[in-house]
Amino acid sequence: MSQGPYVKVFKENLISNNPILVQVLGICSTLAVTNMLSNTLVMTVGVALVTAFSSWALSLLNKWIPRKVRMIVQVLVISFWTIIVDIILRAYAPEISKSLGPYVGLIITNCIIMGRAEAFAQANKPLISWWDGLTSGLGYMVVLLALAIFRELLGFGTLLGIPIFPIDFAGRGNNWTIMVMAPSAFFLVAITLWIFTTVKLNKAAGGKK
Amino acid sequence: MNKESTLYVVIFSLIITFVLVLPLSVVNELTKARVEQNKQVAQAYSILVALGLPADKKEPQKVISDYAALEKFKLADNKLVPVSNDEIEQAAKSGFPIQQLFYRGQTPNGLAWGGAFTGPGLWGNLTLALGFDEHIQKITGFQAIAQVETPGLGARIAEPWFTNQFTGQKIPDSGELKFVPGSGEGDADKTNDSVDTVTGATITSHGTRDIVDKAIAEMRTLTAGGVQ
Repeated sequence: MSQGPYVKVFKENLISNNPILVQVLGICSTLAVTNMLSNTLVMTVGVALVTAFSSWALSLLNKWIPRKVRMIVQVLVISFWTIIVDIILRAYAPEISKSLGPYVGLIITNCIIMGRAEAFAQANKPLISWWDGLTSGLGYMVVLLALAIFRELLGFGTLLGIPIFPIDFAGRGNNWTIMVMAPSAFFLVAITLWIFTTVKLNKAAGGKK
Repeated sequence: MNKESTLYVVIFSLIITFVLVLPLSVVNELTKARVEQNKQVAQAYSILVALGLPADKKEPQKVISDYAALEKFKLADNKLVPVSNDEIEQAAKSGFPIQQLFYRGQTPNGLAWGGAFTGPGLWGNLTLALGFDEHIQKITGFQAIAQVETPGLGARIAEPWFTNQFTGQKIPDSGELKFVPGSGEGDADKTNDSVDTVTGATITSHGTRDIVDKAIAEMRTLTAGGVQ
């Protein structure tokens, strides 16, 4: 059965062309925000929305954008949507805005947003570009949430701040400090990439037999 | 017109910038009052909680009116001088706001002193609301008013497990509270000389400790000098 373009884009962005696992984009924010599930959730929703609306706007403007300034225009559009998210959080969710601090502004620098603008929105219509941006954000969200669950559980013994493991479960005065720090994200991202690539290669080899 | 000509690029750049900045200005203007009110409520809430007074963010008007009812003082020749809400407002309007205010409030446990104290953290300044009992023997409360520390690490100084350990904490005679690595749940013992640090956030913890110690010393000197 043939897949519609929306289903194809969804599957690609979530699995076969996942921004983290395949394109290895957005790694800086992956290292930074994944030590707490609540921050990860808000950050990834922000990235998904900014990617979706930036791709939509850039696809809409595409025929008028001169090639020599296209990247400046992309940054301008991405900044616009990021500032909108920042203003809305400051006005209507001040606690979340406070806990994410400068990270909201840093959505502008997330490579996934510009990556999708360059790779997809330039050559496709606004609606499917919006869908591509949103599903790329979802692909990013799924991986980051999985990492955040591991890091918060092992680092703090909690999930969304709710105690799950008894305090001092590691039996050394506190939990696994390294899980709270950025190096643990390096290890976990590498392990996740390793598992994902191995499964993918095994599947490909199995298919050829 | 040729899309790649200099004239087109200039005109396009001007138009796209205008088209994007205009709605941003409108959204900013529409939410400005709300953002400013959130900021004021957050600051007033932090001061009230630091003094040991009840406050609920869900009742912003009550938070603002309870804050307005506090006695306020400014520094003049290293002495605490009472200052009225009108005077504070006038100073803010004139463009020369009063740099540091100190507060005194009547709590169920007696008089409490407090203020907002600033010092360096890891990425920028930390502004902490700290409250003390009448004779600066105990901390009545701790709140982070402003901080730009790493979310999930240094920013955890604003979380209840960290702030709650200061409520009722005895101040050692030396005036220097110890910050020690702990379980990550906070130090529940209010009679010892220490509180738990934030694991993995050494510089933020040191910055917080320095602000707390400086605030204790400053409040002890100022309250010993009496009020003018």
